[in-house]
Amino acid sequence: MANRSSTRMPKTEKASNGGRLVIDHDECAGCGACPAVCHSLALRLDALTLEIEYELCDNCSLCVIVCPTGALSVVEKHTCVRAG
Amino acid sequence: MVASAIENADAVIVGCGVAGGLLGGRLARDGFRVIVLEKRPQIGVPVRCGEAAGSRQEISQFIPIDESWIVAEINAARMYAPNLTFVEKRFPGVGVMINRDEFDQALAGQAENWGADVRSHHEVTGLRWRDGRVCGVKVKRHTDKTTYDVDARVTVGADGVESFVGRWANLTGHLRAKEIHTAAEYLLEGEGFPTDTIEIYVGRKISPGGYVWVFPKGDRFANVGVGVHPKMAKNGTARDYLHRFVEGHFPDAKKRRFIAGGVSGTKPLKTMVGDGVLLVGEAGRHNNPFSGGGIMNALEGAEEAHKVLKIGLERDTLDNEFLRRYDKAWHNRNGQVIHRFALLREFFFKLDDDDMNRVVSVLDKIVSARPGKITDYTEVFRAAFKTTPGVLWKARRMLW
Ligand SMILES: Cc1cc2nc3c(=O)[nH]c(=O)nc-3n(C[C@H](O)[C@H](O)[C@H](O)COP(=O)(O)OP(=O)(O)OC[C@H]3O[C@@H](n4cnc5c(N)ncnc54)[C@H](O)[C@@H]3O)c2cc1C
Ligand code: SF4
Ligand code: SF4
Repeated sequence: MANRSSTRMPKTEKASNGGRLVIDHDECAGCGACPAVCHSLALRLDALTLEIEYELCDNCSLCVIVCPTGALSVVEKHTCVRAG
Repeated sequence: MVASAIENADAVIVGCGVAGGLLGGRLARDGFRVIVLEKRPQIGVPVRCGEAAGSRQEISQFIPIDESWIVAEINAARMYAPNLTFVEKRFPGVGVMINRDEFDQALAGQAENWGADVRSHHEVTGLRWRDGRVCGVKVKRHTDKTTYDVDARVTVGADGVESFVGRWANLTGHLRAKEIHTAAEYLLEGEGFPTDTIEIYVGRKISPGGYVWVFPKGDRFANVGVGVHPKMAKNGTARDYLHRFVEGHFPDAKKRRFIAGGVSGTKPLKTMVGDGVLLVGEAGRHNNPFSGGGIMNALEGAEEAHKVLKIGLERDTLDNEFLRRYDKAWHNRNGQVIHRFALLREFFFKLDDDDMNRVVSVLDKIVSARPGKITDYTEVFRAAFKTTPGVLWKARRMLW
């Protein structure tokens, strides 16, 4: 049994708002603040590179607010050509 | 699919920052087989720290002082109010400024010299469980993208602010917005920096819910950073606040390094232990929640964890009940103080710029009236609240 998480929350209505979290890797400093606040363990610093597990993300935007460099944003799906 | 290889250890430490480096080393020195896993390719890089540490004497309890990673002395602290009046207190020899990357590498080197197996670029991706208790970790080796498992009698989460170990082991949750400071810092080169004084600027406009720091880093250099409360910062990211401060105060300085980070600011955890697992350092929320400082707290936390784990490993008793000794020891050493600083943090969020101007002016009076007598910051704040009725009501039951 691995990757158990008591903090995984049920998906909220925000999950269906059509947005999608996008990382601007040029701006990301790999600081680890966003994984610390993500309630669903959707974000992980893979050594130094930030990765998103989209199935877990409900677009709550907390990581966007916390990011010290503005590297994260939630964009409307149709404007998102390529995430990450 | 090929099954992962399994290695064995007495203790596996996740994260080789200050807490992991010290604890791994101390357990190895006792003769235990210790594996320390660090996901970053190079220990301590990139730096995520303002780099202000305790005194030489305090540090030398954990590692022999090496002047090569000490870059400046801290003999005084100065706090600027929003109206730029300030209070200054001299504390000769109170701390040193360090190169944090070299410091973490020195701790890792000490651990290796004592026999620990320190592996960088090895990331822990999950825990191993047996009969409801943690019995090791799953590892991804980034160099060749292979995976393996470590079976260990005890697993330590020393994985810093992100701490997934705490969450996998059901000991911690995610940090809420009010429990994190988001921060950005430049290493600046130029003129006009303090040489042996750490400077703090407070104000809702320049650093809502946090502060700006100007820390000396040797001749012509300083770490200048801003930490903000993410929900109170309505005027951009931490980096935007930093830019504005630097443009206003040090417009001619050269920006030599940029770093960012999140610093936890919570009350102490109810428990930092489970069956076969414990948390140390920022993973265990050991930071001072008011200042964000965590280097010395992480070292002290590692020291307490070491004492309990040494006995636990010798007796092969590493269950939740036994490990609670560590909870208790840490709480007695630092937990109560951390709790008070967490309350002070909540109080600080309520102050507006006028309140802060008043607090700094009162602090100045108190500090000038009692040179040398102050041993505890909370004592100063308590005196300030007593003599500043305007902000007293906001501090109801916050401090005492
Ligand atoms: C901007 C900023 C300024 C600060 N300024 C100061 C200051 O001036 N003075 C002070 O005392 N404190 C300061 N702090 C706080 C201080 O840096 C931390 O409290 C301290 O680093 C905590 O030490 P630690 O050993 O617990 O964690 P860390 O030093 O963060 O070490 C944790 C390590 O674990 C690794 N890790 C994480 N997950 C995994 C995984 N899954 N597998 C393997 N490895 C993993 C990380 O890569 C990291 O190296 C500051 C923090 C920030 C962000
Ligand atoms: S928006 Fe960010 S914090 Fe919220 S679930 Fe998605 S990744 Fe996590
Ligand atoms: S908070 Fe921002 S800078 Fe830090 S790791 Fe996340 S995206 Fe990168």
